[in-house]
Amino acid sequence: MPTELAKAQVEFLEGKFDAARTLVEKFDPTIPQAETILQAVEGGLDQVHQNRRLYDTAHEQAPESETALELYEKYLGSIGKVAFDLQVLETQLVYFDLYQYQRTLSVEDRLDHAQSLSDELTTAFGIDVTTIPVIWNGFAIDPLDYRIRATGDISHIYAVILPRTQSEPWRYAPLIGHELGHAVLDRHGDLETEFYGEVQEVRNRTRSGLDHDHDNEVEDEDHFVTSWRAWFEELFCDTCGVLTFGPSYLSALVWHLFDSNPYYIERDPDYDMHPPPALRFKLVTELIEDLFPELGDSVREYRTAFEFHLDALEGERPSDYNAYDYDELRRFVLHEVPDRITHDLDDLITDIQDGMRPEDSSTRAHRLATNEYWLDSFPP
Amino acid sequence: MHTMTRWRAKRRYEANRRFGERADDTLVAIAILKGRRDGIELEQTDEELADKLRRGRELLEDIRDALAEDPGVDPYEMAIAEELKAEDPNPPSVLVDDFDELITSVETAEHTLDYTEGLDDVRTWLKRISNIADRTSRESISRMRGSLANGTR
Repeated sequence: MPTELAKAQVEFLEGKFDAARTLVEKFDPTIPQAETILQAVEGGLDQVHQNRRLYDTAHEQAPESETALELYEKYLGSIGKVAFDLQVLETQLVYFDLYQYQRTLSVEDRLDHAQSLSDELTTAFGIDVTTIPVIWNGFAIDPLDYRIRATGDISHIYAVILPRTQSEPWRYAPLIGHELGHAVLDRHGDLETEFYGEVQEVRNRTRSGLDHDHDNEVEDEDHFVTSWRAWFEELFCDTCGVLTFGPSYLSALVWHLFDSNPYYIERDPDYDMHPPPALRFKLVTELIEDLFPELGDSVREYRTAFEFHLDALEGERPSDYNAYDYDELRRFVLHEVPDRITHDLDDLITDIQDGMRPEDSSTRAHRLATNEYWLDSFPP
Repeated sequence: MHTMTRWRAKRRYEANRRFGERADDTLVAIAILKGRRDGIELEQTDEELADKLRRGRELLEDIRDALAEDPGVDPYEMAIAEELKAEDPNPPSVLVDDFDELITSVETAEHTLDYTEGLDDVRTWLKRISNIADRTSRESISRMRGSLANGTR
């Protein structure tokens, strides 16, 4: 009987859940939101049993009826959902395992730095989240409870992923500002929706031939829309980097973006859809000119070096690059984001200009140390 | 440097899942209403049934708005609507009218709790929507697995 197979599957899932629950409950430090996460999985299991009862009742009365077959299908569907919830929970537990294990290794200082920097940044952004730094193989952030219904629509626990490296942490600290920008955007769905509306408007204008702003035509307008929807998130995060790190964001970014093709536009939406480095650089320099032009000179050396790099590789630029670098969409990020999110840029700029020592600041110590590391001179 | 962002894959999955749940609830409710019509007794209160139908109606309303390209539509719903448009031979305006009819059928069922022919169409469309969401989520999951060790974002 297929229902016996399904039952065995449910029993196996329940066994996995019990194992996960045991681990979650004895975890030290306590996992935030643990109870709600467990309840969400439990709720999914209740749904499985409820659907099973409905199916059994229908099957007893009319085994061949459409209703019985449809309820069987729904029963299987609810099992699949619990299986996925458990997979999410298991992935979270692996991160926690990794975090606990890495605390015992020589990378502990690095984790401490990332943790304390993340605390400084989440305070500056005014967001209430828990961050779990782990060493992996690059810069990333992973929202751990994103798909657990009971904790709401947004994630509260983020794994902040760092590369394994012996470079000084100030070198890459601004990139963590970018990564936490993703958590900020999670709390600004309004901006994302508004931006998508802008993209849609641009497409409608192009479609109706009313767009006179651009000389170059985009051949594949669907790809243009897909690209900009994906690019928005990254450009938003770059803006968050500038708003929290000031001029040092530009220096860290040009080092990070240094690449053999800064004009690369990914044509396959199944691959990474980061905006081209040249576009990110352009936005960041515009932000600096807009927000703190007086400190522009402090990172002139890095800016000039990257401009040279861009000039040298001009030949790599795809013929439709200009059409993709759509001023109106870039300006949306430039003008809307700084006004709409919480940040402490003005105070940071004052601190930098005053040459405040990192150890004298309780709220911006890591970021002052980072600017001290990257700026041509400190105070500029 | 150019690797898939697992963040986006996850986000897409979350939206899919919520979507799928709303559709599933309504599909269960329609099966129960059909069962009642055929004399099959199933344990479910009228309130529960009406609530399940309401969730599906709201989902259809969201998709209808996305098909009509209303401003302020959720990006994910817009993506689903675009797939529906691409798969359907009719122009979008016809699809919008079709969705209005589906919404009316569910709304009537919410009040009468009776099975009607119109709910057959609702079931077909909800399954179609649920399949698109499912397909996207399966792709996202496999990408998530594939890119777990490719962290640059």
